[in-house]
Amino acid sequence: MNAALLIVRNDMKRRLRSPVSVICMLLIPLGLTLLVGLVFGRHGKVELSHIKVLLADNDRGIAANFLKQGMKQGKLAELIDIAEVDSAEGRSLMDRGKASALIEIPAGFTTRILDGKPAELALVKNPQEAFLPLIVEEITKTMAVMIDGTARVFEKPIGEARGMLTAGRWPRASELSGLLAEAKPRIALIRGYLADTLVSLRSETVSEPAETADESFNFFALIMPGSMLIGLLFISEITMRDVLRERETGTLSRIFAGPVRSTGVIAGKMLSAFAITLIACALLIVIGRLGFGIAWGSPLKLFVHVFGSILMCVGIMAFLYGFIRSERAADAMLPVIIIVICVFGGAMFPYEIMGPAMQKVAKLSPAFWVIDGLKRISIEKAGWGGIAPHLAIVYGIALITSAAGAAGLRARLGGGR
Amino acid sequence: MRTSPLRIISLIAANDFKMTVRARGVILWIFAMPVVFMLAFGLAFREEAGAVRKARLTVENADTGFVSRALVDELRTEPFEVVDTLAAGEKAIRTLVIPADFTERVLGRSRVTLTLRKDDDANVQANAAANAAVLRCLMRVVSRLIEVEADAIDARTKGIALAGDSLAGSLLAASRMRPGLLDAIEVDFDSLRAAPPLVTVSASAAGKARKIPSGFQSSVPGNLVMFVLMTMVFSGAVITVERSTGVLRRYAYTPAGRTTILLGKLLGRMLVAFVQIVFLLLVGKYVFRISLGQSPGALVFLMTVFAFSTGAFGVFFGSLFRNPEQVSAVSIVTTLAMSALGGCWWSIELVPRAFKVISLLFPTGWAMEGIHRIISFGYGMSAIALDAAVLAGFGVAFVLLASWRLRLAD
Repeated sequence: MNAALLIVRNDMKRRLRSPVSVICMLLIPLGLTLLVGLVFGRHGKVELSHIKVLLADNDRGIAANFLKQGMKQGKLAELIDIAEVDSAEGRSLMDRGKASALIEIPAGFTTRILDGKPAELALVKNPQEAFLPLIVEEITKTMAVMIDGTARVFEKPIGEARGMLTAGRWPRASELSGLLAEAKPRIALIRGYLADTLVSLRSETVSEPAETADESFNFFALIMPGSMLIGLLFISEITMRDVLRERETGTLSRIFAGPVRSTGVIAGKMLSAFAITLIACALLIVIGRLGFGIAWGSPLKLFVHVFGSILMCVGIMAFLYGFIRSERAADAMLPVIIIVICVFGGAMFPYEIMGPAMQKVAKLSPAFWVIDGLKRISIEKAGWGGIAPHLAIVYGIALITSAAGAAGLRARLGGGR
Repeated sequence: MRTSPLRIISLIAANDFKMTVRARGVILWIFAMPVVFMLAFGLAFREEAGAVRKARLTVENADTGFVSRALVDELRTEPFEVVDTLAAGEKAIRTLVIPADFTERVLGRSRVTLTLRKDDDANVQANAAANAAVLRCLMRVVSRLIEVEADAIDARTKGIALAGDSLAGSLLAASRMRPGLLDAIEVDFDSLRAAPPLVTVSASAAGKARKIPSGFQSSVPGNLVMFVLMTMVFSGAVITVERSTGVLRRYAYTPAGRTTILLGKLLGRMLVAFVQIVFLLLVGKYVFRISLGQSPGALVFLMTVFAFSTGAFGVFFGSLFRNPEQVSAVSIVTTLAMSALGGCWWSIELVPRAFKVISLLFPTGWAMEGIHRIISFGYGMSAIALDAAVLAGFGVAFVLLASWRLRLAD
């Protein structure tokens, strides 16, 4: 035991004298969190800038005007930035990706609708964009339904009005009053739906946690657990690498020349890796709180979970180093393994945005249980019951990999008494 | 005998290329990791992109009237999987709740509210599309109903009339006064609904290609750019290592000048990047089945120019640091930042306008734009002239800066 503690003390001193590599690894989670936060903001809301839409009106009739005015009013005006162009200019701008979509109103659009003939709006979407053109498509389809409905409802009065205009004479008073009589009930009927909202649609979200709906929701809290785990795994990796390096440089064989058991040395190396990773993690948590404003939740639950997570990181690294022969092999293999564990475990992009299949895969990665546990503690303020499976899995993996890792390292190092 | 600088450059390049491809770790990072990333990101965002198309809308219709039936029929014409019953244990993601008296209230012109209930973790994009679709279907149903009501008023049906500027009565009131009217209303309503729409929307994509980037179509180009960037920026770290270990100083005994050495190193890494680019594009095409547009040659050219610009940046970067550990960590953070800000991680359309401008400050932003011009728009070499020129400009500037800054020994 004394040997293990001496190794821990010695390693800690060494790391303090030359902390560059650990600090550099700390930069990864901090840089990642800061970057995503800068782009998407503290609340993680994608604030869409105005969607640039080009509109080529080759019709210039009432229906085209209805469409244009409809898109320039109310909430749509806040969402869409419409620029009127001619078709050729619009197509040319779209071919250069200068707008999200182009709406082309064909010549004779109004006349066709008034004649009761089908008319088609052409929507050209920017293939470089996946989301904004879809929004424009939804809006255009809705506007098309509105024009369709209006044209059908007012079909009779419009027909009469067109008859009057094409009759080649002034309309008679009786014709005008007849026209008004036709239009009035229709206006009254529509008013019922528009002004009195006879039929309305209410949206509600089921079981939404208060924290996510709340303005105080911190997007950094969603991002940082994942990026933090990447940093912690890399720090465990570089600290556990000492075993390999010291074996290659002959330091270990000198240690084993003394009255030291290999078990003690391995325990010491794992303990010092644990201590250094724990300090790094504590630093990240403090920076997360002070720099990114993350409320980490219950300190006790956080401590228990983080303690197990770091044990797991060190255990996984000890296990992997049990198989690795040289530093070159470690250079080649370990970052790849770490990144794969992290990518599939939801460290690079939140588990919440993955599809169902990827979510199932994520649960096979130990990273998921660390990250999800941290999110439950900090975002959902989950109780012990909420994180019990996470703790069980994290501590279970820690135990198994540490034991297997220690045995593997012992076999690889040999030496000692 | 004087050896020409071109020969020295090619010798250094060939040597660096050989040494790089012999390292197992480098091979994993250059060839295996990008594929892993492409797979993970592609799978994650393929489901995201297809969420609307595959989205399910459960309808809880407590009403037995014809108006609600019409509404459900209309919903079936929208791109959703409309279901009315769920299998045991199946969870409803989003549910439209139609109240029991819906038809009666609509016909009676009384206020009625439909509820669109969404699960907490339902796809946001699909939710928004469902909202819009339900509203559109409601509009269609209501407009046909107004037509029926207007016809009833025109026909002076008892129980519904215009009193001054407002409406008196309703179809429900009228149907209560005349038995059998409700059936007639339903027939009229259904015949109006059967008429084809007057206004339709035809959607197409600009350019020559017809592929909207999503899933692998989006993850392959993004990760291709990010990993080529990594390959090249880390060449800067190698220069720092070679300087600290004295390898660069040994070059001073050769007839090679500083710029010649630098160009040799750069060319060696570009050769590695070229192999990487071709490999990853082939993986994209044949494994992930993405479209490479109509000009794969232009794509390889653009990416090679990108490799030159970022390689030059890497060499310049390497010339700034003395400690290999420092340059390694700073390189990781720099490549991640350049990739994210250049649009390799997420679609640049989603970021605020300021970040769209910022993306063009990095070679990654120009590379992604050029890639989209080839893959998404289907253009060829002439369409990427500006992107390639800017990337080459970045490269030349960094080569000049690096050759000014590079020291062969500490």
